Amino acid sequence: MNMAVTPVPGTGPAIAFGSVSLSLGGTDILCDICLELSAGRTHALVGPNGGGKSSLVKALLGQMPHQGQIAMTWPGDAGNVGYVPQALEFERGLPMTVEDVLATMVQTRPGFLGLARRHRELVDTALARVGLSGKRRRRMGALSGGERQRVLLAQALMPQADLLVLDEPLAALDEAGIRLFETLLGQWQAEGRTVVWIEHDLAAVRRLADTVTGLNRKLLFHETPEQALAPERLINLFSHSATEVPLAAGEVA
Amino acid sequence: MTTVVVEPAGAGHETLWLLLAAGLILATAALVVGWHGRDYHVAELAPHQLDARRDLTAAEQGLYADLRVAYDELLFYAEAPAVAELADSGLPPFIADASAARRGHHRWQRLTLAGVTDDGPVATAVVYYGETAEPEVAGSLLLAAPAADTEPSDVRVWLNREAGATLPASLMPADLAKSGWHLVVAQFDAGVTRERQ
Repeated sequence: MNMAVTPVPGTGPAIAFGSVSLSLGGTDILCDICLELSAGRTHALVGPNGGGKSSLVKALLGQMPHQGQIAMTWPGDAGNVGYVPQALEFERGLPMTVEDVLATMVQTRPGFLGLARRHRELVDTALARVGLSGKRRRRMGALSGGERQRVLLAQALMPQADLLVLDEPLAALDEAGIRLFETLLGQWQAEGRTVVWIEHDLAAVRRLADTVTGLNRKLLFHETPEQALAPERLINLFSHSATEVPLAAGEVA
Repeated sequence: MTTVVVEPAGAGHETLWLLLAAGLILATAALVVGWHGRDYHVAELAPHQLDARRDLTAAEQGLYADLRVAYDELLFYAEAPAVAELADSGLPPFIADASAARRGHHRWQRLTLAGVTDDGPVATAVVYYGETAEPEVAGSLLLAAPAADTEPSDVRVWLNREAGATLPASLMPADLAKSGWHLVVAQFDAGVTRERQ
């Protein structure tokens, strides 16, 4: 499915999914996904739980044995890809601080040996951008869910990614965290970075995304938020017998 | 402009390298084995010989081991002693004890037969003859007493499993074979560590 959304000149890539399918353990997770995402735009993926949204972004990250072709076309040299997972699973008693976790992301030497001096500025900047400068010495287990989500956002900023893949970043964020996320997203959009964003909060999607893609094992629609989030589309999307909704006459296809 | 195709996750390359490494190891092992490997030959026995490890019953093996030890003792005597003397000194298998009863009730006697050397027959040779009472448990045995300059390794024991075993006319191989005596030989070859089907 292709939709004409003008690319924004910037550093983010355009992404083309060509007949992407995925089966795991005999179960079809994704069927024949054909989708083109414009460069420098914010693309939201919506759909019911188990609809294959996370699997699609993991395929994009090269972590799934997909079939079909996924191609990223970068404006210059291939840039950085940042990934914010849905949740960070770890033992709450683990004696790792926020700084230790971020250190393991940017350096090859073990995190318990401390943060390398040459990466200190990078980590300082990322923590400042997510408002966690004062909590760098806190144990990860002592952080709230929202603060942990901010740490995940911070690691996607080190170094600044040109393609950001976000898996429900708002799920655990508090009000201030959501405002922070919106600020970051605004900066990424202004800089022309491509964002692929899985989200359940449809109000946030309507407000912030450039395109919305409905996914429930197969591609249901790929449109602007105004078209995609019409009531009949949403009822179909979240019903058990979801089918691809034929485009109305006059809609851009 | 750069186009990057995202490869599906999979272990195809790792599997290929692993198979290659496994193949290389097997090929190297096959080369080394082919190079250094040696055929082993288990010495074939003559028809008049019996293998001490494989061809004897449990009772016969016990008696044969005792006779080998007794032979070492006999080396200390200037002349071959009488059976009664050996029995008095408690040397098996000449004493009549529980082991002797279990191993076929042999009746031991010292005899003189025509002997043999590398140069041909000599006048006499002293032998110890154990006549079995139970041939199905252990056959009759013949131990050549040591001559003047023999070594412990020169021990020679013959076995005859026939019920009414007759003594050979001499220790000439032809005479022994004719009266049904088999030389018991102990050999240490590659067959020690390999099962022979």
